[in-house]
Amino acid sequence: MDEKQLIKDCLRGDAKAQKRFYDTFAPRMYGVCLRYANDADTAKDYLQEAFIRVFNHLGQYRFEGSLEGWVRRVVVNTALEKLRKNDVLKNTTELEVLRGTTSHQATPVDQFSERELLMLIQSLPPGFRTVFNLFAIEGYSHQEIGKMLNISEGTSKSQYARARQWLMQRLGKKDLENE
Amino acid sequence: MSNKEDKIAGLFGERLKNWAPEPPQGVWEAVVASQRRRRRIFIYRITAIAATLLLLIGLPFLLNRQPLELPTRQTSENHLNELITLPQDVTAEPITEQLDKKTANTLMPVVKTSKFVSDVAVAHNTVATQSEPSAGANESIDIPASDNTTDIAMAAESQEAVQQAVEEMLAKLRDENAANATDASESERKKPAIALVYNIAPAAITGQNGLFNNILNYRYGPDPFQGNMALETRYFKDVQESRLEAPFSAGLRFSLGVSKRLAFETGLSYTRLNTYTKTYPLDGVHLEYNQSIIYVGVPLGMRYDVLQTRILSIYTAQNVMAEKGLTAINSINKFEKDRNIGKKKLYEDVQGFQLSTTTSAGLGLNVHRYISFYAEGGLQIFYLNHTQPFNIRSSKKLWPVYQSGIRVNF
Repeated sequence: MDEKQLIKDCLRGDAKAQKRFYDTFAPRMYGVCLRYANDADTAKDYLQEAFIRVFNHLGQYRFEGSLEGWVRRVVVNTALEKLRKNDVLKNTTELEVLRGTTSHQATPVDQFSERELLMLIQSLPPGFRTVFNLFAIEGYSHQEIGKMLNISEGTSKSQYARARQWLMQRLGKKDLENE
Repeated sequence: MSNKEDKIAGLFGERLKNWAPEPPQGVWEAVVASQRRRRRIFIYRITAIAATLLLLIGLPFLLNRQPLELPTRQTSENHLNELITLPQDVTAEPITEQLDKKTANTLMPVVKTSKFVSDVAVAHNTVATQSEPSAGANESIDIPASDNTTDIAMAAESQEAVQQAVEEMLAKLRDENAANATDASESERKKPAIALVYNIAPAAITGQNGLFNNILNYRYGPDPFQGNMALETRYFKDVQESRLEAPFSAGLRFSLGVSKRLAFETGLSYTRLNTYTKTYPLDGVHLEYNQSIIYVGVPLGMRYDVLQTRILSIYTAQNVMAEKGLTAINSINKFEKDRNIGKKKLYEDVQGFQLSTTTSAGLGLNVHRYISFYAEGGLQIFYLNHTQPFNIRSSKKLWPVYQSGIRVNF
């Protein structure tokens, strides 16, 4: 069944189509939520809220760009909204304070599992984590991130640089330094 | 620095961008439940709006409604006689002027027939008068004498038939009129009343994973007090207990009778919403947060008495209420082994409005000619919660509400 038909069926309130839609996108979107949240419980809440919004606003999808891209934007925006609501993004905990994470001196970079990489990201304070996610993984520019988080472009750059430095230390890989 | 040249970005982006872990159990069920709930709220909302609009639109018509006035037997007969026997310039106007529209429409075919008969009779008189030799001939009249005789006979028969038909119809209308007159005396308007009202609603208690942390309950406006609490309690992880106390609400209600059973109601309402939050003790120290939000509201609605007896009345009511938050009184107390070691109190403005609709049914007990007690129960739906600070109405939009009071009837 093509995407258009699936969307039409979902908009008509067809429960089976909605379930199919959920099954298609939920795993990848849960991965997105896990990156923005502190823990699995919060990520679950983000996912739930995001899918409620997706179904409520599916009629607004204009078939411009991929459907997955649209769903991902809704998920990211939901996560950001929740973080903003709790003033999490203004939490300026210093990165240096967080010293509990284990360094992986002997592990080759490509042997890190997704779970391990996720744990590293989740160890970052929310502000740094959010900027890192948006820049390194979602591919937004610092200018866009500044607008999204209501911070200056410079703040976004510096937070990203510090997050990156911290992650490299944790990975113990000097070869990840830029040439 | 572009993230294309950034190896850290490359590593994390490549491995995590399309990573698809198994989603947790229960999410889909919660999404479905939310969809159902949304549909239900939509229906409630539409119903409440429709009921309120219906009442508001219907109000002017109800207020302007006059009892039906119909002619008496004597006046009806007089008009009938005038209609049939008066000269040519007599029309059906007297009847249409004095009867109401319904009566006039009912009678119109008969009146038209009567007018025709009357015209024929008048023509006959004219012919009879002008056919006298001394009066001179009128060339415009060319009705033969024999035809005149036939017409007169027919007219006389028609007159009798019409008179009989009209009399029957008027008798029927008089009966209806009598019935309406009885109703009119019964539909005497309800007397104005003023009531002292006290509202109660259930409280809610939640632990750390309750209302604050439930993502579905984020239906409240930006509130610095709750924001600070979130930061100070590790996003409510340190919260041991949250208590959303039962709202206290009291006010005055004025009612104005529209008919014997229907009354228009408005008034003034004062409401206080308290939220109490306590953290787990850490090294014997715990925090207690209290927030009180004060609202003043104006209800607008209708009450309809389903049953009225000398002692009891049973009624239904529908109203809409707009409330404005006057202030939020926030306080934080720090306790060390139950000894208060720090206290902070601050006042904040409350932006926006809280709208609600209430559908209820109640029982009135007349204890005196002028005084009655009443109690009612119903459902209140709250809208625009997202403009308000967190309170008991943020957690659920639909709450049962009980109201009791004393009513003074004038």
